[in-house]
Amino acid sequence: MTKPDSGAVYLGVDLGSTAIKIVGVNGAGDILFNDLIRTNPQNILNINSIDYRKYSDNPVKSICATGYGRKNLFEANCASPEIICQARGIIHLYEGVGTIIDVGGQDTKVIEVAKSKVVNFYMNDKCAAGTGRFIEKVADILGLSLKEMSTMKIEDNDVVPITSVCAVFAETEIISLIAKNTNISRIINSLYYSLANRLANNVRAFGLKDKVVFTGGLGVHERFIYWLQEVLKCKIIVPASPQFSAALGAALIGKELKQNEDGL
Amino acid sequence: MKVGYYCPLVGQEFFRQIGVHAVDLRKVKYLHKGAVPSEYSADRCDVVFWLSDLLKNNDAPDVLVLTNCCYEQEKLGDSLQSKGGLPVFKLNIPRNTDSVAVTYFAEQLKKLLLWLNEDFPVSYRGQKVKCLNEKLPCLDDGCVPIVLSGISIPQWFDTVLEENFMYPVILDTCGIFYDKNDSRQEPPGNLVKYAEMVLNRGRCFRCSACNASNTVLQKRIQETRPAAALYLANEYCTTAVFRYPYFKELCDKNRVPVYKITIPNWQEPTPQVLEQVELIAKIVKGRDESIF
Repeated sequence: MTKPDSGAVYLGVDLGSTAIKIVGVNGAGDILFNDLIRTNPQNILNINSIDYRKYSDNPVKSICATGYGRKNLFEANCASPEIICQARGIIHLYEGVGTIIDVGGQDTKVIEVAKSKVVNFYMNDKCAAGTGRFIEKVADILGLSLKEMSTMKIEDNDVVPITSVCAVFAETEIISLIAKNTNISRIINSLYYSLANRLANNVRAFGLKDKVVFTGGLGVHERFIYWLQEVLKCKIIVPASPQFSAALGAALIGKELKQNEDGL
Repeated sequence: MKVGYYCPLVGQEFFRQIGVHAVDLRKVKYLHKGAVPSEYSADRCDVVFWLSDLLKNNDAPDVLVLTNCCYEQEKLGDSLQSKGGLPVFKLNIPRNTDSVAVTYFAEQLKKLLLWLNEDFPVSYRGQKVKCLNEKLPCLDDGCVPIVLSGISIPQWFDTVLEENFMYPVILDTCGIFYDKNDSRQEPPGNLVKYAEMVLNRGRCFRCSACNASNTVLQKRIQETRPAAALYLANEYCTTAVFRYPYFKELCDKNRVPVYKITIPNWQEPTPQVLEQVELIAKIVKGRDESIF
């Protein structure tokens, strides 16, 4: 049976500090496409010039914006806070989620979910250490792309201490390790271990409820997830595209609002 | 003569009684340019940066009354006094309410009067005047959250709250426990009685909430029965951070969910702060139904 708006596309746009994520869903909530555009001063200012038609020939029925730049997207029909969208997207993908850990470009969020509702959250927006921006910076120092860093084969499990809790000083420590001829894969392994420990402290302070899902670009760094599971002593689920869950949630929220409006 | 003051505990009401023009500096709309004034180190409280910049304006008050409510205010007073520019009176407000504290506070008020008299003849009149308490918490049934601030609530935060909550109860750190009935009270005929009235009726969070068994705050939470509580702290104010556990314990006892928001900039909101307020509003409003 053909759904009444099966040909329609509902867009979710997550305007983050490091990237703009776009997800399109159909009337049944199935993901049709996703795209990631790196944030730079030009596209932040010209965000309304993104050509959504390149993703699908079908009519765009709604655009729901989220992320810190959501109010810049004038084309959007609706906007919703990122944490709400993040939770909405993850609940769509997994049932019975208790905690969502999201490491974004400029902050870290821990979201407690119960019965499909956000009941509490913790946000660390004071410190750059452990955020996506910090990882980008470290990859740059090591002369690697983010993809190369995330897929690098870790030869042994040894870690060298990266003790600093500050992104600026951690950077200095990494430069010192390079100067000491420390193996790059060991530096990366140590960095992930250090980041996992730092994040785990915040997560533990907030409280952890089973089932745990990790979102954000750091989710593709398998070694980091390995250490986070080790430190938190729990299984962590990472979606196939961990950067897109907030955009997915926005698309679904926009879809539901539009379908309610249209009486579908 | 224009008197500038920051603490409403001895604010508009007292200055009206003694017949001077007084300005609540927290209500002056002024945006600090952002740069750290050269006389301060960068890790100082940005409220002090704002205040010290404001005092350089042409329409700045002629004299300033500061209180002992925080270390930063005391340091600001020292700094202003050492430069010899704006005359500053530092008023000590005791944290106790016993007879010794009342006498001490009355003496402090007398000293303030004498100090003001050096330039301008003033006296305590004890006349019936309309009392203007700055922030009276509304006790309507429709109140959604209770906002308790560990710091002085910035002007922009009021707007952000109004955008997100229909009936926010705002309990500023300054004079939070003023009651509607108190505001109708006739001022006592002498300074000792006035001092007693001030110390006994309106205790700010700084003065009185340093223990978990704070009955006044507990009473206020029980009266307002808020759906949630927000605690506002400033990144540079350790005092506000240290007081949070007491507030949280009290809210937990009364089964009121509490959210802490730490603002990095007292003068302007950051996207993260706006995000948090908006999110808390959604969580609070969506308590009885799915937010999705």
